Amino acid sequence: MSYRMTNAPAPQIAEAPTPGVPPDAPRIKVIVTLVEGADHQAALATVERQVYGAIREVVVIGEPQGDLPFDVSRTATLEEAIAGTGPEIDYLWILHSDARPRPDALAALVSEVDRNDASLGGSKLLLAGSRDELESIGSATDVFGDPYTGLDEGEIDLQQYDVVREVAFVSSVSMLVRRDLAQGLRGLDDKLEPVAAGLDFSQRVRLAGGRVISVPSSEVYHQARCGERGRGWREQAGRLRAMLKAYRLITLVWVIPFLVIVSLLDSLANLLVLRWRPAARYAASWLWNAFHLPSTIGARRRFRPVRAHGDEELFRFQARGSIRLREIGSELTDRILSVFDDDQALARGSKRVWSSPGIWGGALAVLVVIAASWSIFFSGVPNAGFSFPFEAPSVAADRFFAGWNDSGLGSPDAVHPVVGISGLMSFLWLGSEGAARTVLTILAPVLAVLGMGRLAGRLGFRGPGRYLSGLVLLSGPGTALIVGAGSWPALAGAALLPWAVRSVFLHPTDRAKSWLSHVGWVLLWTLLLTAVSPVLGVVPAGVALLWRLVGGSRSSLTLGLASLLAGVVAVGFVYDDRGWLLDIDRRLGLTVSEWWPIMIAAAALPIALTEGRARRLGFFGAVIALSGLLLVRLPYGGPGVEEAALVLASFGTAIVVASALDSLVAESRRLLAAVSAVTIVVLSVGGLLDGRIGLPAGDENDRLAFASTLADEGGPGRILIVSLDPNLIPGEALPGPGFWYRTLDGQGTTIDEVWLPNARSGDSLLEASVDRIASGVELRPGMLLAQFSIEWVVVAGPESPLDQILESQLDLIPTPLADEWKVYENPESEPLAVGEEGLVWDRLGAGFGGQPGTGQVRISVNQSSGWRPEAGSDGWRATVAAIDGEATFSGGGYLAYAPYAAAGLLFMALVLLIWGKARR
Amino acid sequence: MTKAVFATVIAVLAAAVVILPAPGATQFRQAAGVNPPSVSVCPVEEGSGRSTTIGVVATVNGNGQFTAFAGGASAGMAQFETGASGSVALPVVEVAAIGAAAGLVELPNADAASASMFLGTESVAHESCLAVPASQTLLAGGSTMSGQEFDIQLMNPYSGEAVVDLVVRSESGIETASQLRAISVPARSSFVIDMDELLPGRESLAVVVETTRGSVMAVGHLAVGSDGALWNAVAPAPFWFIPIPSGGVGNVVISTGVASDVEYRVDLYGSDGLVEAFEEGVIPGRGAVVIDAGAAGVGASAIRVESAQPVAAFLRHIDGEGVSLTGGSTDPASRWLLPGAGLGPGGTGRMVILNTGLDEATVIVTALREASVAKQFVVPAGSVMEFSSVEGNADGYSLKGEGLLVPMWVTNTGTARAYSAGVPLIDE
Repeated sequence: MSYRMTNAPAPQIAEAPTPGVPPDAPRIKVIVTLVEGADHQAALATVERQVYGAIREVVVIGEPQGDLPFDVSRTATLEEAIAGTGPEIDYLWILHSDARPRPDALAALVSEVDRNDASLGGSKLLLAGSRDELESIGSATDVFGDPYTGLDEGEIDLQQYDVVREVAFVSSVSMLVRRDLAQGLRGLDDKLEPVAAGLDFSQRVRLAGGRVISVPSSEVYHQARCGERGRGWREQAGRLRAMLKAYRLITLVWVIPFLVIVSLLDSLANLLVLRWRPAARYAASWLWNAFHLPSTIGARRRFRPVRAHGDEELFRFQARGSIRLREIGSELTDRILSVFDDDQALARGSKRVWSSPGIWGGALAVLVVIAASWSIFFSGVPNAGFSFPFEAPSVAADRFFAGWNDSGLGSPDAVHPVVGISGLMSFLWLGSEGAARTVLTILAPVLAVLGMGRLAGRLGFRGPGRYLSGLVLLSGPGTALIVGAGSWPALAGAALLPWAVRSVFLHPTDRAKSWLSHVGWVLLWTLLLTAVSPVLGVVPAGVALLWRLVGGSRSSLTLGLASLLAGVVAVGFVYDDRGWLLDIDRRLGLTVSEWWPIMIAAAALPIALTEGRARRLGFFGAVIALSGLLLVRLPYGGPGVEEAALVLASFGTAIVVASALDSLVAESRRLLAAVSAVTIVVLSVGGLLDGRIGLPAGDENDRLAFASTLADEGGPGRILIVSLDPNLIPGEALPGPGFWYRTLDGQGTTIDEVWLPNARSGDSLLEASVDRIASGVELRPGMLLAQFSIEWVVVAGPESPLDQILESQLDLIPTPLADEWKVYENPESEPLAVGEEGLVWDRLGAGFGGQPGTGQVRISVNQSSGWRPEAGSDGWRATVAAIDGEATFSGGGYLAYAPYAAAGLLFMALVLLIWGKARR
Repeated sequence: MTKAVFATVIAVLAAAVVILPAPGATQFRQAAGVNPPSVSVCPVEEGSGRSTTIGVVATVNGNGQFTAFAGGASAGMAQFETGASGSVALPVVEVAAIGAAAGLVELPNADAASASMFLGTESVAHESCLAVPASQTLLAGGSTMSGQEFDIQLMNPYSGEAVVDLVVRSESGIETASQLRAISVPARSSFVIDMDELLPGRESLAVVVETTRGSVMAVGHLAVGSDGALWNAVAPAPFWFIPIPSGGVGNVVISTGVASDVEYRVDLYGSDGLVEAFEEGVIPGRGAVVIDAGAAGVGASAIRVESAQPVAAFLRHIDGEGVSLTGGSTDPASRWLLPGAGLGPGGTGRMVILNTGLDEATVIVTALREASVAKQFVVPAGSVMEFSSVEGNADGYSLKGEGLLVPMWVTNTGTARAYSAGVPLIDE
């Protein structure tokens, strides 16, 4: 196929009408509208070459550069040109100067319009300079005016649409319209871009009683200089204006609210794929229309006398639903499918779908995810162990950016960075922290399975094991334990780890991606990973290094080093709470069965003795897995190290499984490895079928909800919970005399309370009080606990010596409020925040607030100079001036800037991604 | 070569993981041991011609508080100071007029005790207040025969409701009255069960008080004629020592809370020294046996009860002079407090001291009052001695000696009589 009609030859002198034209042939006036950058002389030349002989007049609209041929006139506006047309003219051919009609284009238009008794006909538009790529054959629209061409991107014209038919609208690039109708409608709206102008004019023609047809035999090449093929914001604004002009008020009443919703959904969906322009276009189009509303109203008024039909006439040619949402939905679906459909099997067709390991790996993943999270769908995410609800986005952001750490008796120490991520996710989920948490929890296994599949693919695996390995990552030897203990951050960490590791590996076929994109992805994934599990943040760099050490070549040490920058998100927390990193006594004490290293070795050793790439990969995975298990057993490191080591063990095991199941061949060593790998998968999947993705059952917040239900004006105070079993205590527990204990916020435990900050003076005093109560000598424990605002004492789980002690005291009132747990109300409890005048303040965001007053307000949190206004102390407790009616906290020190640096890094990562994408 | 290196590294790492012991799970701190608060719970009775005095004795000059409680609330409160003598007497009428109720005494220190002394014109009852609640206590010696009124008072000074089951065995066997089950004793209140009304005509009632929720302390009230006795329900133990005043012809009642039969043996400290296996027998499950104490002779004596399962032993003495009941002591000690001893009118008390040791013991008995008075006695090994009280009243007595001693206080007003066991102090 050859290129056609990219440029016309120089204009010819107009010839006299072709002899032999029938006297009754419709007489045509050609109106050429100038398009910036287009060669109008060439356009006039193509007009000159038309075989249709009854062209009576040629007019150019606007101020053309250079002289016009002597028989071509000029007018300022299209409306003027239409109005100045005499009755001897039957049709107007409106043509853009960037259009290049074939010589028979006009003849075909006139013939078909006349034969079909139509009022408006449009040409078939082909993209100039292409191999007959179709641009328009007339379009349908949806109710919002969004055009639907029915054409695929880059679809070639093979005459497959060559049939004259009625359409919703035709482009204004080349249209033939009855003169009388054009004059009645006052022509095209000169405020509109070509596609929108065509839509507007076509709609008005149809409502005026005319027929609008597409004439495919009239072929016009279009250089598309007049706009972005209908995609610019002006086009969008024009479509909105066309809608406002054409629809009756009753239609607009429901269409406009729907359009607003569609605009929002489309904008949000595009933001998901890092496209911000659609949102900007919507905003601009609404603003533009608001600005031009008077002229729109005027146009509606002028059109009213001409209208012959209701809006139903337009609905006949409209597609159902929103074309825009359908397109973005289709794109998102394609993207999601392409995540695991590396081989594009879906795109290749259904017959070969099941030949792709990725497809059935993905299908299996879907099944497992459904089975693994069915309980969460119905009952929500469990609130137990270390898994607790997110805080409101504003409160989480306040805490993350050097705000008050409210865990225990409070502290100025930095909160765990997962608080920041939880706040960000809740914000993105329109402020619904519950929904955000549920969605993220359900997404975690999906991410883990897909991430392992994608990572394994990047490492060179193609077999079925790469997706099955994701199940091992989710519930392998380490994650099953740590997630089973309730660590939601560990679950999130396991889900993010393969993506973060993948980002430091470069695939040979991925070179099209710019370096900026690589850095952006590395920063994005490792920031998220480090935020949920700070120690895991060093794993991508470590794995990249290990891969090089074992002779691999695809890992990038530079990207590995870049990933370490993400540590800034956790530096404040780790520095303030070094015990989380170093104190072995704070570990959860989780022990992996001795069978696991044997199983891993049984799968990895046979692979190590084979030839081929699987050997290195199996060894690589085994070293990671066994190092993780070894780290768990070494008497070094706190709970952060324990968490990371356990996830790492599962991650390495997953790679071993992927290696062992990469290619199933009848060779003894490969078979032995495969059998071991399948055993590992089966053992792992078993742990997932509880429907909670391995998280522990229960809702401790619900069990302790009485605290908030029965709260008085100062809001719920604190709960002192004690138990012989630390697993029954939400979050981290402190070792007490003969039991474990900690304080909880009575309004419900949230994710920021999981880890307890370093003990301060209040905590030491509480410890001494607990010791005294446990000794049995204290007859009035309620009075002792009152200063800590402990309103409730809960004894959870098995009977302990404390039960007997609490049965023999005078001021804690046993209250049967929690099943199987013993609950004591403390009527002596003091409010969390109380002023000198007895004014009680309540929690307000991350601080406290209430009626302003004079004097000081005493807050039952550990004293710190960061409280405002006028920080002071009353013993271990903080005081502030009551004058503002609000107490806020702002941390100090250099590390207080670290969260801002992390936010900047996240922003930079997103900029790099967008910039990198733009440069591709 | 690569294969070998890879295989070796995997094997070594796996072996290291298997061999290396897992770090032990972190434990909570070891509890230093439970020290019950220095409190005691006393029955009180005001009205009907009787009034109550609480006697408090301590080894220090310290402060304390008495709170009378009834119906879920405090009915009155008084703070006190034991003074130089370490003793004080608190007439309850000055605190609250509350009828039959109870009071909580917050003692100055752990080496302190209190007692209730009920005094009427022709009656006296005296018993140490209860310090430690137990889930099962035994109360035997009561009777609902004609002319005898037997009540059980359940006292709950704490903040939580308590629920109690009473397992009562009489000569008719285990009693099945539903009112004996799931008895609720609200917080800060006491509850009196009229056994005459529930189980009339029973000659011997052995009661097992089983607390199923909360904490409760129980005492028995037995009225015979114009006199009345007050005695504590006690936790069962395998050994009991009971001094028996001279001239008495009372009974020793031994009861058990165990459902099966329990073998017991009684040794006698009499005028002939220790007579082992003076009597042996079997206590029916959750029942009691009665031993005639008069068989020991007319002089002061004592018995030691030993059993295969924990039991409780009580001394009961009913005659024309009055009715007296008290529990024994489980452990001999060298130091004792006898709170309330000497509060009776006319200084008519006696102290009976058993020396269970193998050496004679020099004993200093001190009458605790504003001007305390001490006397020194010698108690031969394995024998029982009886001593008159010092001149005048006292808030209580203390006893300090060498060896293993068990004292008992006898109040005798002429028209009425009361027995009261002492409170041992933990040896330093």
